[in-house]
Amino acid sequence: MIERVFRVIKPGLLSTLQDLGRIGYQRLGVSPCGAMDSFALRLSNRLVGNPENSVSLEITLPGTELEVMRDCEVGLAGADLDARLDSHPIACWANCFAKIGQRLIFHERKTGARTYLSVPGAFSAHYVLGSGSTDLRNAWGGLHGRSLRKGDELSAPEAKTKQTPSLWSVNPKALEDYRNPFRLRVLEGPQSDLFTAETRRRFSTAEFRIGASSNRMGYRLEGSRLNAPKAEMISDATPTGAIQVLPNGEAVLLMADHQTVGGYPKIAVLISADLPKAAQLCPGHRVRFQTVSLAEAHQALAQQEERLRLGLLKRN
Amino acid sequence: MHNRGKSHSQKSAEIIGQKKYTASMFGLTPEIRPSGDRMVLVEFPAEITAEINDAVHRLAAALESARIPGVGEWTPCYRSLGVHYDPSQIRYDELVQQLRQLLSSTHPYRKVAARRVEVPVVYGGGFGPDLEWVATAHGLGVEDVVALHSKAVYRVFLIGFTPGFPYLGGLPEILASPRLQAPRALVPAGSVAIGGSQCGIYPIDSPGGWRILGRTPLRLFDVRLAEPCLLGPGDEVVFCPIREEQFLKTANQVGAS
Repeated sequence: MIERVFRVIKPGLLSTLQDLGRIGYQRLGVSPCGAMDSFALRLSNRLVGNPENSVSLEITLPGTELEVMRDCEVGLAGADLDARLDSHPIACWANCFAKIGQRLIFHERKTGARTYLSVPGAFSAHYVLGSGSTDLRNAWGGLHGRSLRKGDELSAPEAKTKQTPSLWSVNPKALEDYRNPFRLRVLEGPQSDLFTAETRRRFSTAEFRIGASSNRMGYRLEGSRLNAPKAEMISDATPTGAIQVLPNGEAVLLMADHQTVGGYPKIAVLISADLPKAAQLCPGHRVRFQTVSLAEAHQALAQQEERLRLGLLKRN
Repeated sequence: MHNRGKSHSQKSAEIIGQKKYTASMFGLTPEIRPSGDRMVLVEFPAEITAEINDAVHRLAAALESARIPGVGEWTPCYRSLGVHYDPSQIRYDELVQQLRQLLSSTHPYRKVAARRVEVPVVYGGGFGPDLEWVATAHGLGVEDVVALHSKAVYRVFLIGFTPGFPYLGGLPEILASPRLQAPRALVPAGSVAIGGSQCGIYPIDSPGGWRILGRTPLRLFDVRLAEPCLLGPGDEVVFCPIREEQFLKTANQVGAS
């Protein structure tokens, strides 16, 4: 039985239902979408006993306020937005219980930008092409293909057991990757040879500021202009994390809702293991890029998977 | 080829040359490099031609047959194929090796359902606000533009930018037209348009800067279907002129937007 769990009192800046994204349709122009911080999404689901790919609520920055419509277990992972149940603070990277009538409020940004809220059995969502993720550009998936509005209701399967489930928190050792949030590792881009050596050097030493117009499609990287190559390139596939340089020298870091194909040269591509870190950046944050090898990138990804396997710690 | 009288290095060069240009289905050996840590980029020579695009789609078909574990999907473009892989299931080097094997194969891989799709179009009037402009700009009559446009056989180079948007090659050169200075805020779904030397069809209402010649009642992308996209990369497309009454009748039948 599907039952209502939350009613939206205040939607916040951008709250959308997301899972790990749409896989297999990029050749048809369908963006992958999905959680900006897939690592946090997966742990948020694990905290409430869900498969890692279950539909959760991605909350961006503070301001969201939800009314609890029935007793439920809740998992929270990602940014610390000073979450409270009524006036009681609740920990991030942990599960807890919400009681009917309480208000779940995301009060203030302490660290990070995006946090993931999961409930057992996953939120009900519109599934499109195998995924419940919201595609804002095409207006499908998730909750009617849009972000939450005041008055929306989120539903989920009723609790399987009346027993009080145990309390868990994420092993702190699993959170190692978030430690240097402003240093992002990249691989040389597939078109890096179109840039001069001087431009490539400047890219790897410059400081960039996340621009105000940054969103789920991509982040504007401001503060340092790069020399874009004169010759036009023929459009090719754009991976998540690609850093494109526009004709005016501005760099853009492509994120979850990126278009599948692009005609701007890519000077670098973020390593996959650092995408969760990038997802936790806010406009105004300053970052630097460090070039690593493919082997190091794959090693970082393997280490991240190991940390996920470290699992959860029981707490009382 | 005569070997008599040739030096050792000349013979080696010939053998190397023969290996490189062996009669594979893919022509010259493409470049293969990483694009991030979860994509391998296979690049054929940097030109937009049917032959090179064909090699891209045949490699995609070969991947579909090969079912390499760890290869999740691929994005075909004009002259390159982005192959998405899971590094925990297959190593980069291993994948490159398998791709090279597929590329040097002489098996005539063909898209499982290489199709020719007929797209009915109402040209001009309210459906094709730029048809007259294109005619005048090229010193042609409106009927000439329709005839030229609808006689050509187009190929879907790739689907990208929005779900289901086909980039069609094969536009008669005489019809090539520059984009609008300022894009329209709304191009209706089904609009058939020209941008430079490319022809395209807008699957949904969206802003757009291409020159609109007409509109099709067919639905290009429907998420409810198992095969959501009407056109696939590598398909052939021909446009068939229809009258407005036929447009309205077909639109009702296919539940077009």
